[in-house]
Amino acid sequence: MTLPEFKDYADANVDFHDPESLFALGEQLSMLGNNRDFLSNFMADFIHQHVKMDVLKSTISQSITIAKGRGYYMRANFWLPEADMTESEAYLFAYHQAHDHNFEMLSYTYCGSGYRTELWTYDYEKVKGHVGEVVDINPLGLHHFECGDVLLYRCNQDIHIQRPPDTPSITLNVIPTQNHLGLRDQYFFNIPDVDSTQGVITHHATSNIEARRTLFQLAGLVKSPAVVTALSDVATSYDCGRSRFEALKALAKCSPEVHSDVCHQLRDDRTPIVKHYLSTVGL
Amino acid sequence: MGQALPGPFFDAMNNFLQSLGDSPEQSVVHFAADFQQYAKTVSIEEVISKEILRCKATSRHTAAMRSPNALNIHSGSWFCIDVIAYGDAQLIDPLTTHPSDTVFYFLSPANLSSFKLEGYDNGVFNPAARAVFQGNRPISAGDVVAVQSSEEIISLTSSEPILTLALSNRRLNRFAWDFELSQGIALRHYNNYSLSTMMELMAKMLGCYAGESSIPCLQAMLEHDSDTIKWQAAYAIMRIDPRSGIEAFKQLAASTNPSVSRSAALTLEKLQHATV
Repeated sequence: MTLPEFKDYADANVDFHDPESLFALGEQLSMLGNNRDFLSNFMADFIHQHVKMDVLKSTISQSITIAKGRGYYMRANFWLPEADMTESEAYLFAYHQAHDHNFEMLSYTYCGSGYRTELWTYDYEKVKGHVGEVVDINPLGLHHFECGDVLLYRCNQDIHIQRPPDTPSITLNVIPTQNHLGLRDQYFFNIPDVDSTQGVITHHATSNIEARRTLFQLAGLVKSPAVVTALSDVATSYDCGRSRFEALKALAKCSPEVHSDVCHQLRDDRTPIVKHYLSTVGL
Repeated sequence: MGQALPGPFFDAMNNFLQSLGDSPEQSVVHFAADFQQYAKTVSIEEVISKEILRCKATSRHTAAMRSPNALNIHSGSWFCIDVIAYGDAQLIDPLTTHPSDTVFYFLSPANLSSFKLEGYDNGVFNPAARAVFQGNRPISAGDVVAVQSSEEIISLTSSEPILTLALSNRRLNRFAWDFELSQGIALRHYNNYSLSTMMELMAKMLGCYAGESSIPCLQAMLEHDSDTIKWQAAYAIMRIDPRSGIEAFKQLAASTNPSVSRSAALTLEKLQHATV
Protein backbone atom coordinates (compact mmCIF):
# COMPACT_ATOMS: atom_id res chain seq x y z
CA MET A 1 0.00 0.00 0.00
CA THR A 2 1.28 3.49 -0.73
CA LEU A 3 1.15 6.33 1.78
CA PRO A 4 -1.56 8.22 -0.15
CA GLU A 5 -3.62 5.02 -0.33
CA PHE A 6 -3.21 4.48 3.40
CA LYS A 7 -4.24 8.05 4.10
CA ASP A 8 -7.30 7.79 1.85
CA TYR A 9 -8.34 4.58 3.55
CA ALA A 10 -7.88 6.03 7.05
CA ASP A 11 -9.77 9.22 6.16
CA ALA A 12 -12.70 7.24 4.81
CA ASN A 13 -12.96 4.34 7.23
CA VAL A 14 -11.64 5.16 10.68
CA ASP A 15 -13.36 6.84 13.60
CA PHE A 16 -10.42 8.36 15.43
CA HIS A 17 -12.49 8.83 18.57
CA ASP A 18 -12.91 5.04 18.80
CA PRO A 19 -9.86 3.01 19.93
CA GLU A 20 -11.30 -0.17 18.38
CA SER A 21 -11.61 1.53 15.02
CA LEU A 22 -8.05 2.81 15.35
CA PHE A 23 -6.79 -0.65 16.23
CA ALA A 24 -8.48 -2.13 13.17
CA LEU A 25 -6.39 0.24 11.05
CA GLY A 26 -3.43 -1.91 12.08
CA GLU A 27 -4.13 -4.15 9.10
CA GLN A 28 -3.67 -1.31 6.61
CA LEU A 29 -0.69 -0.06 8.59
CA SER A 30 0.92 -3.48 8.07
CA MET A 31 0.15 -3.25 4.36
CA LEU A 32 1.88 0.13 4.28
CA GLY A 33 4.75 -1.42 6.18
CA ASN A 34 5.18 -3.99 3.42
CA ASN A 35 5.99 -1.09 1.12
CA ARG A 36 9.76 -1.08 1.65
CA ASP A 37 10.37 2.06 -0.41
CA PHE A 38 7.87 4.65 0.78
CA LEU A 39 9.79 5.80 3.84
CA SER A 40 13.18 6.06 2.15
CA ASN A 41 11.49 8.03 -0.65
CA PHE A 42 9.91 10.30 1.96
CA MET A 43 13.26 10.83 3.67
CA ALA A 44 14.95 11.58 0.36
CA ASP A 45 12.35 14.27 -0.41
CA PHE A 46 12.69 15.66 3.11
CA ILE A 47 16.45 15.83 2.86
CA HIS A 48 16.38 17.54 -0.54
CA GLN A 49 13.87 20.05 0.82
CA HIS A 50 15.74 20.87 3.99
CA VAL A 51 19.41 20.54 3.15
CA LYS A 52 19.63 24.08 1.78
CA MET A 53 16.67 25.57 3.65
CA ASP A 54 17.25 28.50 6.02
CA VAL A 55 16.81 27.02 9.49
CA LEU A 56 14.61 29.95 10.49
CA LYS A 57 12.07 28.80 7.91
CA SER A 58 11.89 25.18 9.00
CA THR A 59 10.04 23.69 11.93
CA ILE A 60 10.76 20.26 13.28
CA SER A 61 9.95 18.28 16.38
CA GLN A 62 11.64 15.20 17.72
CA SER A 63 10.02 12.87 15.24
CA ILE A 64 9.06 13.23 11.59
CA THR A 65 5.45 13.82 10.63
CA ILE A 66 4.91 11.88 7.43
CA ALA A 67 1.20 12.49 6.89
CA LYS A 68 -1.71 14.47 8.26
CA GLY A 69 -5.29 13.39 7.85
CA ARG A 70 -8.75 14.16 9.16
CA GLY A 71 -8.40 13.94 12.93
CA TYR A 72 -4.98 12.24 13.02
CA TYR A 73 -1.37 12.42 11.96
CA MET A 74 1.33 9.87 11.23
CA ARG A 75 4.92 10.05 12.34
CA ALA A 76 8.08 8.01 11.97
CA ASN A 77 10.32 7.48 14.98
CA PHE A 78 13.94 6.46 14.89
CA TRP A 79 15.44 4.24 17.58
CA LEU A 80 19.14 3.63 18.00
CA PRO A 81 21.12 1.14 20.06
CA GLU A 82 22.65 3.01 22.98
CA ALA A 83 26.20 2.49 21.74
CA ASP A 84 25.33 4.13 18.40
CA MET A 85 23.95 7.37 19.83
CA THR A 86 25.71 10.72 19.59
CA GLU A 87 25.39 13.35 22.34
CA SER A 88 22.74 15.13 20.27
CA GLU A 89 20.73 11.99 19.70
CA ALA A 90 20.83 11.04 23.37
CA TYR A 91 18.81 14.19 24.13
CA LEU A 92 15.99 13.00 21.85
CA PHE A 93 15.43 9.54 23.23
CA ALA A 94 13.34 8.73 26.32
CA TYR A 95 14.80 5.28 26.95
CA HIS A 96 14.52 3.64 30.35
CA GLN A 97 11.81 6.05 31.51
CA ALA A 98 8.39 4.62 32.31
CA HIS A 99 5.63 6.79 30.87
CA ASP A 100 2.10 6.71 29.56
CA HIS A 101 0.63 8.71 26.68
CA ASN A 102 -2.19 11.22 26.80
CA PHE A 103 -3.37 10.12 23.39
CA GLU A 104 -4.15 6.84 21.68
CA MET A 105 -1.24 5.61 19.56
CA LEU A 106 -1.21 2.84 16.99
CA SER A 107 2.38 1.74 16.47
CA TYR A 108 4.10 -0.50 13.92
CA THR A 109 7.72 -1.57 13.78
CA TYR A 110 8.77 -0.88 10.22
CA CYS A 111 12.35 -2.04 10.21
CA GLY A 112 15.20 -3.11 12.42
CA SER A 113 15.15 -5.40 15.44
CA GLY A 114 12.54 -3.31 17.22
CA TYR A 115 12.72 -2.25 20.85
CA ARG A 116 11.87 -4.20 23.96
CA THR A 117 9.24 -2.71 26.17
CA GLU A 118 8.02 -3.41 29.68
CA LEU A 119 4.29 -2.81 30.02
CA TRP A 120 1.80 -2.03 32.76
CA THR A 121 -1.73 -0.69 32.92
CA TYR A 122 -3.24 1.74 35.41
CA ASP A 123 -6.46 3.61 36.15
CA TYR A 124 -6.08 7.30 35.24
CA GLU A 125 -9.31 8.23 37.03
CA LYS A 126 -7.87 7.05 40.35
CA VAL A 127 -4.77 9.19 39.99
CA LYS A 128 -4.58 12.72 41.39
CA GLY A 129 -1.53 13.50 39.22
CA HIS A 130 1.02 15.23 41.44
CA VAL A 131 4.74 14.51 41.53
CA GLY A 132 5.52 11.96 44.23
CA GLU A 133 2.14 10.26 44.03
CA VAL A 134 2.18 6.48 44.38
CA VAL A 135 0.10 4.86 41.67
CA ASP A 136 -1.20 1.28 41.56
CA ILE A 137 -0.17 -0.46 38.34
CA ASN A 138 -0.84 -3.86 36.81
CA PRO A 139 2.26 -5.52 35.25
CA LEU A 140 1.91 -7.03 31.76
CA GLY A 141 5.49 -8.23 31.37
CA LEU A 142 8.21 -7.67 28.82
CA HIS A 143 7.40 -7.54 25.14
CA HIS A 144 9.72 -7.44 22.14
CA PHE A 145 8.12 -5.09 19.63
CA GLU A 146 9.52 -6.81 16.58
CA CYS A 147 9.53 -5.82 12.92
CA GLY A 148 5.99 -6.26 11.60
CA ASP A 149 4.29 -6.06 15.01
CA VAL A 150 1.34 -3.71 15.57
CA LEU A 151 0.64 -2.34 19.05
CA LEU A 152 -2.07 0.00 20.30
CA TYR A 153 -1.02 2.13 23.27
CA ARG A 154 -4.22 3.26 24.95
CA CYS A 155 -4.60 6.81 26.16
CA ASN A 156 -3.77 7.10 29.85
CA GLN A 157 -4.10 3.34 30.39
CA ASP A 158 -0.87 1.79 29.19
CA ILE A 159 2.49 2.56 30.74
CA HIS A 160 5.70 1.39 29.14
CA ILE A 161 9.47 1.60 29.33
CA GLN A 162 11.33 1.49 26.01
CA ARG A 163 14.72 -0.19 25.98
CA PRO A 164 17.19 0.50 23.17
CA PRO A 165 16.93 -1.90 20.23
CA ASP A 166 19.71 -4.23 19.14
CA THR A 167 19.86 -2.61 15.70
CA PRO A 168 18.67 0.80 14.40
CA SER A 169 14.90 0.61 14.11
CA ILE A 170 12.01 2.68 12.83
CA THR A 171 8.44 2.66 14.10
CA LEU A 172 5.41 4.27 12.47
CA ASN A 173 2.70 5.83 14.63
CA VAL A 174 -0.87 6.87 13.88
CA ILE A 175 -2.06 9.38 16.49
CA PRO A 176 -5.52 10.95 16.79
CA THR A 177 -5.33 14.70 17.30
CA GLN A 178 -8.33 15.19 19.54
CA ASN A 179 -6.01 15.05 22.55
CA HIS A 180 -8.82 15.58 25.00
CA LEU A 181 -8.79 19.35 24.59
CA GLY A 182 -5.43 19.75 26.29
CA LEU A 183 -6.87 18.49 29.59
CA ARG A 184 -5.18 15.13 30.05
CA ASP A 185 -1.75 14.79 31.56
CA GLN A 186 1.10 12.52 30.52
CA TYR A 187 3.13 11.04 33.35
CA PHE A 188 6.61 9.69 33.87
CA PHE A 189 6.95 7.08 36.58
CA ASN A 190 9.64 5.49 38.66
CA ILE A 191 8.88 1.76 38.49
CA PRO A 192 11.49 -0.50 40.11
CA ASP A 193 11.03 -3.60 37.95
CA VAL A 194 8.87 -5.37 35.42
CA ASP A 195 6.74 -7.07 38.10
CA SER A 196 6.14 -3.95 40.19
CA THR A 197 2.57 -3.21 41.20
CA GLN A 198 3.26 0.38 42.22
CA GLY A 199 5.00 3.27 40.56
CA VAL A 200 5.72 6.85 41.61
CA ILE A 201 5.01 9.86 39.40
CA THR A 202 8.36 11.62 38.91
CA HIS A 203 7.46 14.31 36.42
CA HIS A 204 5.12 15.24 33.60
CA ALA A 205 5.70 15.21 29.87
CA THR A 206 5.64 18.30 27.70
CA SER A 207 2.00 19.16 27.09
CA ASN A 208 -0.46 22.04 27.29
CA ILE A 209 -0.82 21.32 30.99
CA GLU A 210 2.93 21.40 31.51
CA ALA A 211 3.20 24.66 29.56
CA ARG A 212 0.58 26.13 31.87
CA ARG A 213 2.53 24.89 34.88
CA THR A 214 5.71 26.63 33.76
CA LEU A 215 3.75 29.81 33.00
CA PHE A 216 2.22 29.77 36.49
CA GLN A 217 5.63 29.07 38.01
CA LEU A 218 6.97 32.17 36.25
CA ALA A 219 3.91 34.12 37.35
CA GLY A 220 4.56 33.14 40.95
CA LEU A 221 7.67 35.33 40.85
CA VAL A 222 5.68 38.42 39.92
CA LYS A 223 3.86 39.79 42.90
CA SER A 224 1.28 42.00 41.22
CA PRO A 225 -2.50 42.35 41.64
CA ALA A 226 -3.18 41.46 37.99
CA VAL A 227 -1.19 38.22 38.24
CA VAL A 228 -2.73 37.34 41.60
CA THR A 229 -6.22 37.85 40.17
CA ALA A 230 -5.47 35.73 37.12
CA LEU A 231 -4.00 32.89 39.18
CA SER A 232 -6.93 33.02 41.62
CA ASP A 233 -9.29 32.83 38.69
CA VAL A 234 -7.66 29.63 37.41
CA ALA A 235 -7.34 28.12 40.88
CA THR A 236 -11.01 28.51 41.67
CA SER A 237 -12.51 27.36 38.40
CA TYR A 238 -10.87 25.62 35.47
CA ASP A 239 -11.53 22.37 33.65
CA CYS A 240 -8.05 21.03 34.32
CA GLY A 241 -7.50 19.91 37.92
CA ARG A 242 -3.72 19.91 37.71
CA SER A 243 -3.70 23.43 36.32
CA ARG A 244 -5.75 24.53 39.31
CA PHE A 245 -3.24 22.76 41.58
CA GLU A 246 -0.30 24.52 39.88
CA ALA A 247 -2.10 27.87 40.07
CA LEU A 248 -2.56 27.38 43.82
CA LYS A 249 1.14 26.65 44.26
CA ALA A 250 2.06 29.78 42.32
CA LEU A 251 -0.46 31.84 44.28
CA ALA A 252 1.17 30.74 47.52
CA LYS A 253 4.40 32.36 46.32
CA CYS A 254 3.05 35.62 45.00
CA SER A 255 0.36 36.33 47.58
CA PRO A 256 0.15 34.16 50.71
CA GLU A 257 -2.86 36.20 51.90
CA VAL A 258 -4.95 35.69 48.78
CA HIS A 259 -3.74 32.08 48.64
CA SER A 260 -5.13 31.48 52.12
CA ASP A 261 -8.47 33.06 51.20
CA VAL A 262 -8.76 30.99 48.04
CA CYS A 263 -7.87 27.77 49.85
CA HIS A 264 -10.61 28.40 52.39
CA GLN A 265 -13.00 29.15 49.59
CA LEU A 266 -12.14 25.79 48.03
CA ARG A 267 -12.31 23.66 51.17
CA ASP A 268 -15.32 21.71 49.89
CA ASP A 269 -13.89 21.30 46.38
CA ARG A 270 -14.12 17.73 45.10
CA THR A 271 -11.39 17.73 42.46
CA PRO A 272 -8.97 15.05 43.76
CA ILE A 273 -5.72 16.91 43.12
CA VAL A 274 -7.13 20.11 44.59
CA LYS A 275 -8.28 18.18 47.67
CA HIS A 276 -4.80 16.71 47.92
CA TYR A 277 -3.27 20.20 47.76
CA LEU A 278 -5.61 21.53 50.43
CA SER A 279 -4.64 18.63 52.67
CA THR A 280 -0.96 19.64 52.34
CA VAL A 281 -1.77 23.15 53.56
CA GLY A 282 -3.75 21.89 56.51
CA LEU A 283 -7.29 22.14 55.19
CA MET B 1 2.29 40.19 22.86
CA GLY B 2 2.51 42.63 25.75
CA GLN B 3 -0.20 45.23 25.90
CA ALA B 4 1.13 48.68 24.96
CA LEU B 5 0.80 51.42 27.52
CA PRO B 6 -0.91 54.66 26.46
CA GLY B 7 0.86 57.86 25.49
CA PRO B 8 4.59 58.17 24.89
CA PHE B 9 5.29 54.68 26.23
CA PHE B 10 3.09 53.23 23.49
CA ASP B 11 5.10 55.07 20.84
CA ALA B 12 8.44 54.05 22.35
CA MET B 13 7.43 50.39 22.45
CA ASN B 14 6.03 50.33 18.94
CA ASN B 15 8.89 52.36 17.49
CA PHE B 16 11.44 49.94 18.87
CA LEU B 17 9.65 46.85 17.57
CA GLN B 18 9.12 48.56 14.23
CA SER B 19 12.78 49.47 13.91
CA LEU B 20 13.85 45.93 14.78
CA GLY B 21 11.43 44.48 12.28
CA ASP B 22 12.64 46.85 9.54
CA SER B 23 16.32 46.18 10.24
CA PRO B 24 18.21 43.47 8.41
CA GLU B 25 19.17 40.43 10.46
CA GLN B 26 22.16 41.25 12.68
CA SER B 27 23.39 40.68 16.20
CA VAL B 28 20.90 41.97 18.76
CA VAL B 29 23.79 43.41 20.80
CA HIS B 30 23.66 46.43 18.44
CA PHE B 31 20.28 47.24 19.93
CA ALA B 32 21.24 47.03 23.60
CA ALA B 33 20.70 50.73 24.41
CA ASP B 34 17.37 50.90 22.57
CA PHE B 35 16.26 47.67 24.18
CA GLN B 36 16.93 49.10 27.61
CA GLN B 37 14.56 52.00 26.83
CA TYR B 38 11.96 49.65 25.38
CA ALA B 39 12.15 47.33 28.38
CA LYS B 40 11.17 50.17 30.70
CA THR B 41 7.85 50.44 28.85
CA VAL B 42 6.92 46.77 29.16
CA SER B 43 4.50 45.79 31.89
CA ILE B 44 5.60 42.28 32.78
CA GLU B 45 2.64 41.89 35.11
CA GLU B 46 0.22 42.68 32.33
CA VAL B 47 1.94 40.37 29.85
CA ILE B 48 1.91 37.43 32.23
CA SER B 49 -1.61 37.94 33.53
CA LYS B 50 -2.95 38.20 29.96
CA GLU B 51 -1.26 34.95 29.00
CA ILE B 52 -2.78 33.22 32.03
CA LEU B 53 -6.20 34.48 31.03
CA ARG B 54 -5.69 33.23 27.46
CA CYS B 55 -5.07 29.78 28.94
CA LYS B 56 -8.15 30.17 31.11
CA ALA B 57 -10.29 31.09 28.10
CA THR B 58 -9.53 27.76 26.41
CA SER B 59 -7.52 24.75 27.52
CA ARG B 60 -6.52 24.27 23.88
CA HIS B 61 -4.40 27.43 24.02
CA THR B 62 -0.74 26.49 24.44
CA ALA B 63 1.01 28.92 26.77
CA ALA B 64 3.73 30.77 24.86
CA MET B 65 6.58 29.23 26.84
CA ARG B 66 9.65 28.87 24.62
CA SER B 67 11.30 26.88 27.38
CA PRO B 68 10.33 25.99 30.97
CA ASN B 69 11.59 29.37 32.17
CA ALA B 70 11.00 31.65 29.16
CA LEU B 71 7.70 33.25 28.15
CA ASN B 72 7.77 34.60 24.61
CA ILE B 73 6.18 38.02 24.32
CA HIS B 74 7.20 38.99 20.81
CA SER B 75 8.67 37.21 17.80
CA GLY B 76 10.01 38.91 14.71
CA SER B 77 11.48 37.32 11.61
CA TRP B 78 14.98 37.25 13.11
CA PHE B 79 14.62 38.16 16.79
CA CYS B 80 12.49 37.31 19.78
CA ILE B 81 11.74 38.89 23.14
CA ASP B 82 11.09 36.76 26.20
CA VAL B 83 10.54 37.11 29.92
CA ILE B 84 13.08 34.73 31.42
CA ALA B 85 13.39 33.64 35.05
CA TYR B 86 16.48 32.16 36.65
CA GLY B 87 16.43 30.66 40.10
CA ASP B 88 19.87 29.27 40.84
CA ALA B 89 21.78 29.95 43.99
CA GLN B 90 24.95 28.31 42.65
CA LEU B 91 26.82 28.30 39.38
CA ILE B 92 25.69 25.52 37.10
CA ASP B 93 28.26 22.91 36.08
CA PRO B 94 28.89 22.37 33.21
CA LEU B 95 28.67 25.83 31.67
CA THR B 96 26.78 25.86 28.41
CA THR B 97 27.26 28.37 25.61
CA HIS B 98 24.40 30.74 24.85
CA PRO B 99 22.32 29.54 21.89
CA SER B 100 22.54 33.00 20.27
CA ASP B 101 23.48 36.60 21.00
CA THR B 102 21.24 38.01 23.73
CA VAL B 103 20.63 41.31 25.47
CA PHE B 104 19.36 40.95 29.03
CA TYR B 105 17.44 43.68 30.82
CA PHE B 106 17.35 42.89 34.52
CA LEU B 107 14.10 43.26 36.39
CA SER B 108 15.68 42.13 39.64
CA PRO B 109 19.24 42.11 41.02
CA ALA B 110 21.70 39.29 40.43
CA ASN B 111 25.34 38.29 40.64
CA LEU B 112 26.92 37.85 37.23
CA SER B 113 29.90 35.59 36.55
CA SER B 114 31.61 36.05 33.23
CA PHE B 115 33.66 33.51 31.23
CA LYS B 116 35.64 34.38 28.11
CA LEU B 117 35.72 31.80 25.32
CA GLU B 118 39.20 31.07 24.01
CA GLY B 119 40.11 28.90 21.06
CA TYR B 120 36.39 28.64 20.34
CA ASP B 121 34.82 28.37 16.91
CA ASN B 122 31.26 27.13 17.28
CA GLY B 123 31.23 25.03 14.10
CA VAL B 124 34.54 23.26 14.76
CA PHE B 125 34.85 21.35 18.03
CA ASN B 126 38.25 21.98 19.57
CA PRO B 127 39.11 20.08 22.76
CA ALA B 128 41.66 22.81 23.55
CA ALA B 129 38.99 25.53 23.70
CA ARG B 130 38.44 27.02 27.13
CA ALA B 131 35.88 29.07 29.05
CA VAL B 132 38.11 31.29 31.18
CA PHE B 133 36.67 32.88 34.30
CA GLN B 134 36.83 36.68 34.12
CA GLY B 135 35.21 37.72 37.37
CA ASN B 136 31.98 38.40 39.24
CA ARG B 137 30.00 41.60 39.44
CA PRO B 138 26.68 42.64 40.94
CA ILE B 139 23.84 43.55 38.62
CA SER B 140 21.03 45.90 39.64
CA ALA B 141 17.46 46.07 38.43
CA GLY B 142 17.40 48.27 35.32
CA ASP B 143 20.86 47.19 34.16
CA VAL B 144 21.35 45.79 30.69
CA VAL B 145 23.96 43.18 29.70
CA ALA B 146 24.70 42.32 26.07
CA VAL B 147 26.17 38.87 25.44
CA GLN B 148 28.04 37.97 22.27
CA SER B 149 27.64 34.21 22.24
CA SER B 150 30.79 33.68 20.17
CA GLU B 151 32.91 35.37 22.83
CA GLU B 152 31.55 34.72 26.29
CA ILE B 153 29.28 32.87 28.64
CA ILE B 154 27.58 34.61 31.54
CA SER B 155 26.11 32.81 34.49
CA LEU B 156 23.64 34.35 36.94
CA THR B 157 23.25 33.51 40.60
CA SER B 158 21.11 34.90 43.36
CA SER B 159 19.45 33.78 46.57
CA GLU B 160 16.18 35.11 45.09
CA PRO B 161 14.74 34.30 41.64
CA ILE B 162 16.04 36.55 38.89
CA LEU B 163 13.65 38.04 36.35
CA THR B 164 14.89 39.35 33.03
CA LEU B 165 13.55 40.61 29.76
CA ALA B 166 15.70 39.18 26.97
CA LEU B 167 16.14 40.14 23.33
CA SER B 168 17.71 37.27 21.36
CA ASN B 169 18.59 36.37 17.82
CA ARG B 170 16.33 33.61 16.57
CA ARG B 171 19.10 32.14 14.45
CA LEU B 172 20.91 29.88 16.84
CA ASN B 173 24.53 28.86 16.78
CA ARG B 174 24.80 25.50 15.13
CA PHE B 175 26.04 23.76 18.26
CA ALA B 176 25.79 24.09 22.02
CA TRP B 177 29.07 23.45 23.85
CA ASP B 178 29.52 22.37 27.44
CA PHE B 179 32.54 23.53 29.43
CA GLU B 180 33.59 22.09 32.76
CA LEU B 181 33.19 24.84 35.38
CA SER B 182 36.34 24.71 37.48
CA GLN B 183 38.95 24.50 34.71
CA GLY B 184 36.90 25.64 31.74
CA ILE B 185 37.70 22.54 29.68
CA ALA B 186 35.56 21.91 26.59
CA LEU B 187 33.61 18.73 27.28
CA ARG B 188 31.29 18.14 24.33
CA HIS B 189 29.11 19.77 21.71
CA TYR B 190 25.68 18.88 20.40
CA ASN B 191 23.15 20.22 17.95
CA ASN B 192 21.13 23.30 18.87
CA TYR B 193 18.68 22.42 16.12
CA SER B 194 16.73 19.19 16.40
CA LEU B 195 16.42 19.35 12.60
CA SER B 196 20.15 18.68 12.37
CA THR B 197 19.86 15.67 14.65
CA MET B 198 16.93 14.42 12.63
CA MET B 199 18.90 14.63 9.39
CA GLU B 200 21.78 12.75 10.99
CA LEU B 201 19.35 10.06 12.11
CA MET B 202 17.87 9.83 8.64
CA ALA B 203 21.34 9.38 7.19
CA LYS B 204 22.02 6.55 9.67
CA MET B 205 18.75 4.81 8.85
CA LEU B 206 19.24 5.16 5.10
CA GLY B 207 22.74 3.76 5.50
CA CYS B 208 21.33 0.75 7.34
CA TYR B 209 18.33 -0.11 5.25
CA ALA B 210 18.12 1.85 2.00
CA GLY B 211 19.52 1.07 -1.43
CA GLU B 212 21.43 2.90 -4.10
CA SER B 213 18.43 5.10 -4.91
CA SER B 214 19.10 6.94 -1.62
CA ILE B 215 22.66 7.87 -2.56
CA PRO B 216 21.72 11.14 -4.35
CA CYS B 217 20.00 12.60 -1.26
CA LEU B 218 22.93 11.53 0.93
CA GLN B 219 25.32 13.16 -1.53
CA ALA B 220 23.23 16.34 -1.23
CA MET B 221 23.86 16.18 2.54
CA LEU B 222 27.59 16.41 1.85
CA GLU B 223 26.92 20.05 0.91
CA HIS B 224 25.26 20.86 4.26
CA ASP B 225 26.82 23.48 6.57
CA SER B 226 27.06 21.04 9.46
CA ASP B 227 30.11 18.79 9.58
CA THR B 228 28.28 16.23 11.70
CA ILE B 229 25.59 15.89 9.04
CA LYS B 230 28.22 15.58 6.32
CA TRP B 231 30.01 12.89 8.28
CA GLN B 232 26.88 10.80 8.84
CA ALA B 233 26.00 11.16 5.16
CA ALA B 234 29.45 9.97 4.03
CA TYR B 235 29.30 7.02 6.40
CA ALA B 236 25.83 6.09 5.15
CA ILE B 237 26.97 6.27 1.52
CA MET B 238 29.89 3.99 2.39
CA ARG B 239 27.50 1.40 3.83
CA ILE B 240 25.37 1.39 0.70
CA ASP B 241 28.11 1.58 -1.95
CA PRO B 242 31.79 1.56 -0.92
CA ARG B 243 32.97 3.15 -4.16
CA SER B 244 30.65 6.13 -3.74
CA GLY B 245 31.60 6.16 -0.06
CA ILE B 246 35.28 6.59 -0.89
CA GLU B 247 34.42 9.59 -3.06
CA ALA B 248 32.39 11.04 -0.20
CA PHE B 249 35.26 10.67 2.25
CA LYS B 250 37.67 12.21 -0.28
CA GLN B 251 35.39 15.22 -0.23
CA LEU B 252 35.53 15.34 3.57
CA ALA B 253 39.30 14.96 3.53
CA ALA B 254 39.40 18.41 1.90
CA SER B 255 37.36 19.97 4.74
CA THR B 256 38.62 23.14 6.42
CA ASN B 257 37.66 21.55 9.75
CA PRO B 258 40.89 19.82 10.79
CA SER B 259 39.20 17.11 12.86
CA VAL B 260 36.96 16.21 9.90
CA SER B 261 39.77 16.26 7.33
CA ARG B 262 42.05 14.21 9.63
CA SER B 263 39.36 11.64 10.41
CA ALA B 264 38.37 11.38 6.75
CA ALA B 265 42.02 10.90 5.70
CA LEU B 266 42.44 8.18 8.31
CA THR B 267 39.28 6.49 7.10
CA LEU B 268 40.55 6.51 3.53
CA GLU B 269 43.89 5.10 4.66
CA LYS B 270 42.18 2.24 6.48
CA LEU B 271 39.97 1.55 3.48
CA GLN B 272 43.01 1.45 1.26
CA HIS B 273 44.71 -1.07 3.53
CA ALA B 274 41.55 -3.12 3.66
CA THR B 275 41.38 -3.41 -0.10
CA VAL B 276 45.08 -4.16 -0.60
